[in-house]
Parts: sequence; structure tokens; C-alpha cells
Amino acid sequence: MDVKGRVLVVDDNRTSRLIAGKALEQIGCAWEEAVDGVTALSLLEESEFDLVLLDIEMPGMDGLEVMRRLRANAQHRDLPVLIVSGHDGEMDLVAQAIQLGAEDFLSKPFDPTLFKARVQSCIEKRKLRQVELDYLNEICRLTEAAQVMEAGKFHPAALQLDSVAARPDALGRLASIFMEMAHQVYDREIGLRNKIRTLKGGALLLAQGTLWGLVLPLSVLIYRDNELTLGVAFWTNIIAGLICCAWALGTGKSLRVTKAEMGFLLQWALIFGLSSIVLFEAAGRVTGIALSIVMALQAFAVFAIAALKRIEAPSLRRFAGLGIGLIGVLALLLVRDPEAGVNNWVWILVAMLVPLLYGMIDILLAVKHPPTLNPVVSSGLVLVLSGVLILPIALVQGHWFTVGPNMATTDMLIALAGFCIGVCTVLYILLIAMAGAVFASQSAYAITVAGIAWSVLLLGEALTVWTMMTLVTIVVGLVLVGPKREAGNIEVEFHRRARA
Amino acid sequence: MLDKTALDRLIAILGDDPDDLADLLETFQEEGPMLVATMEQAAARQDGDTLRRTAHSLKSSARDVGAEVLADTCATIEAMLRAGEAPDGVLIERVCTEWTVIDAALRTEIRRLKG
Repeated sequence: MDVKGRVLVVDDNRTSRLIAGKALEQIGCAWEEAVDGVTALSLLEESEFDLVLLDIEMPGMDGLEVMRRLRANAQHRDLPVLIVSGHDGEMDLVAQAIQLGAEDFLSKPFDPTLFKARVQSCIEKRKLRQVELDYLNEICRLTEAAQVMEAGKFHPAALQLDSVAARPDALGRLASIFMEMAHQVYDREIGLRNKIRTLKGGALLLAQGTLWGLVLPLSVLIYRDNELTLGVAFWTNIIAGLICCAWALGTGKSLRVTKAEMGFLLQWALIFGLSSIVLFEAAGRVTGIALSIVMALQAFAVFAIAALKRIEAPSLRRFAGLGIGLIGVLALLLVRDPEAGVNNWVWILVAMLVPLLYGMIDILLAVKHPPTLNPVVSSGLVLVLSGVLILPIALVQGHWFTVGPNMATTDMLIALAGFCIGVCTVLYILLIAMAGAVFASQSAYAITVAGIAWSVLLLGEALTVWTMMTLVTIVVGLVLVGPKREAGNIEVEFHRRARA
Repeated sequence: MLDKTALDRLIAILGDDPDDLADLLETFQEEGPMLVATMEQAAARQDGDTLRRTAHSLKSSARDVGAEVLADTCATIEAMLRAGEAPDGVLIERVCTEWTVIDAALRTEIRRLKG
């Protein structure tokens, strides 16, 4: 039977190398030659060998030095070496080489049977050792994976046990069971986390929506008393901003921001300022219910922008939701409740600008809000800033008026709207941070429902069957768009059972 | 001039292939003169270390192919150097002479193997 293996023959004598090489070929081994110690070591670095046949007497680096270097190198420590000894009187050197870790020696002239037996035994031992080392290595990998899990946070893919699990033996079986369990623990943890996020997010969403929904009939009420919409926008924003800033200062936050943060806040303030002007302009021209239903557009706007910009993963289901929601909004234009002088479809279209602008803000916040910036601080500054931006236009347009000091009903309404806007803005940033822009934009759903309820309550408006139906369509669309998916590379905690 | 027993053992380890043996003898025929020349130069400049190592190398190959007389002379030189003695010029000359004989014997053997 042939010995399969790759042997390096190290000898300065060409005739000797050729004899050894031909003898190796006879027993089925591949071989390479090195004329001295230095060449031998560099060849060993370049490729894998199963055995070295080493001459001792060589110019430059001799065989004993080669032995020393091999044994000092972790990579070659286990590489078997057979010393090729001369015909006479080299036994002391051979003994030294064996002490340095050479496997055995081959004396010249070679005896064919002995030559084959020694080479074969060395190569087999080497291969067995390799198998053992691989096995030990993979046991180490498995143990390390167990330690990673025990230490706490882990991700099944990062445990890197696939190659161990692929082994056809008992170790492979153990590794694959271990992996299976790790995956199960992981999936359970992720499922649980998602549930908790949805619950927390849902609560925050309802609170924010209910409060913001109140702003809609309030705007309608304010418009009935006061048509100076730019002034109204200025006052509500300033009041909201001052409430947030006071809240921030009261809880020990600094209102200082960097230049880069200021740029971001300015963008946000511009869009928000514009949205508040449009809101107060539209409020008097459409019913509170129509205004509330229009607000649902925000969720769709956010999803459309997020999908376009690839911030969140779009899917067929989410696009279907978007489509159904838009059908609902269009239906609203057709079935608008007939009330004297209001709900002109042009004004419903104008009102739709508000949720679209809110959608832009959502995306801006989700993508650019610096994590270092406190949400109360940023909300406060933006609201004040938007008020300041509106002020010159209000003055030029003759919309300026003062609020207080003897608070009339309108003044109270403006203050209340300002309060709601301030609190809602802060809640909204918290919601985006926790659940993502698309999920947060579903507060539109809460805003719509709350807005309708507040409108019925405060404005005495009635909900017709047709309006109800458009509402249901929009809700179905929102459910299909769904919340943000959690990224796939999150680590979960592994909790050990307490020992009895 | 070439020991029959040594050649038989050599051809056995090479797998009883006369061509392989002929290749091997040709290799020795090429390498031999270089080794002899190295020995002469080393002796002339009294480089004992190179002389000893080259004598050792030539001895080893000579024994492989059964050139016993040449191998013995090289062994003597190697042993003397190991013992710290300088071999005299006569010994080196003997290596040259013996190589000429071996060279001829190698040629005959190679021709026979290839014939």
C-alpha cells in the first residue's frame, strides 16, 4: 500500500537528495527538496509537509539548528523529522538531533523495508495527531460558544459553530443541538423584546395621539374667534417652546447646542413652522372630523419617504397598506360632510399638507436627530425657533396681536394648544427613538380617532356612516403598514437558571 | 571498481528501475568533480571546515554507489580533520586520482544500464 504524504528532503548533497526522493516516490510520497537549512525553513513556511528527511552536515545552517528552529516554532512543533545519517560515525550528532525532538533516524544506505516502515509510521502519526488537534480545536470552539452564552449577550450566528455542527460524529451532533437551543433561546428573546417594544410604543402612541388630537378641534375653535392665523401660530409655538425649555431647565438640562445641531434644528423649525401656519389656516375651513381624518396621511407619508430613502424595509404588504390608506383619504374628499361654508375640497387638499409636512419631520428626526441631544431641549428650541421665524411674517401681514394679561377664552385656547403641542413634541421624539419613524407615525391613527372624538365632544360635529367607512379603510391601511422591524444583528441575553 | 552489493541495494531502494539508477549515477558523475574541486581549493587555502564537510559529502555519495576506495580516502581525511590534524597533500591528490577511476567506472556502468 502506498504512503500518501508530502515530504521535504533537506540535504546539501544532490546525489543523496535524489536517492531519498526516488525512494519516496517508490512508496507513493510526493517530495520537495531543499539544499540547506534556510531554504528548508522558508519552504516549510510556504506550504504544508507531513515529514522532513533531514541531513545533519550542511554548510550554513546545519541539521541540528534546523531542528532547534522547528521545535521553537509553534506551527512546526509537531512536524515529524527523520534524521538521515551517514554510513559511519555520526551517532553522537544523531543522538543530539533525537534529543532535540527528531522522530528517529534513517541510516544510509537505506533498507527499502525499513525506509518505508519509518516514513509510513511518521506520516500516519502526523495525520492522527492532526485529526486529534482538529477535534480538540472544535471542542474548544464549542466550549467557547458555551462561555459566550453563559457570559450574557450573544447572537447565534456569531457563535460560529457551523463547521463543528457539520461533523458527522458525536461532537457534531452535540454542536448542532447546542446551536438549535441557542437559536430557540434567541428567537424567544427577540419575540419577547418585540412584544415589550410594541406595548410600550403603543402606550406612548396613544398618549401622544390623544393629546395631539385635541389640538385639531382647538384650532377650529380658535379660528372661529380669531382669524389672525400667523399670530396664532406664533403664540402657540412660543408657548409650547417655552414650556419645553422650562421643563428642560427645571430638570437640569442645558439649552446649549453645537453649530451642527443648530443647522438640524433650523431645518426642523422651518418645516414645523410652515405646518403650523397651514394647520391654523385650514382649521377654520374644514370640520374638525375632516381635519382629524386627513391627519392619518402622516403615517403613509412617512412610510413612502422611508421606503424611498431605504431607511426602512418596504414590502408588498406595506405598499398594499399604503394603497388602501390613500383610497380611504381620497374617499374622504368625495364623501365630505356637507356643512355650510366648510369642507370645500380645495381646503381639504390644503389641510393634507399638514400631515405631509409632519411626515417629513418624522423622517428628519429618525435619521438626523443627534442621540446626544436631549429631546426636551431640542423640542423647546425648535418650537421657539419656529415661533421666531413666523413673527416677522405675522407682523408684515398684520396678524400681530397680544395674548393676556386678562386671559380671554381665545387666549386660554391658544395657551392650551401650545401646552398640548409642547408635550406632544417631546413624547413623539421618545416614540421615534423607541419604535422607529414608521411605527411612530402610526400615532396618526390615534390622532385621527382622538381628533374625531374631541371634535364630536367640543365642536358638536356628527360622524356620518360614509365618514366612518373612509375611516375604517384608513385604519386597515395603517395596520398593513405595521411597525418597524428590528434589525437582525441584535444580541440577546442568556439567563442561567438559578442552581437549587 | 563499483561494489556490486552496493549497486544492488541502491537499485532496490529505487524500485529496481535501471533507468533511475543510471540517472542517479549521472548525477553523481556531475556532482563528483565539483566536490573534488571544492576539496582541492579548501586544502589549498587551508579551510579545514569546508574540506571536512566536502569530504563527508563525497564520502557519503561514494558509499551510496559502492565506490569504496574513494569513500575510505574521504573518510580518512574527514577523521583527521575531526581529530584536529591537517591532511597532507598526498591524500588530496589520491582523491583526484581515485575520482578519475570512479568516473570511468561510472561511465561504463551507465552505458551498461542504458544499453
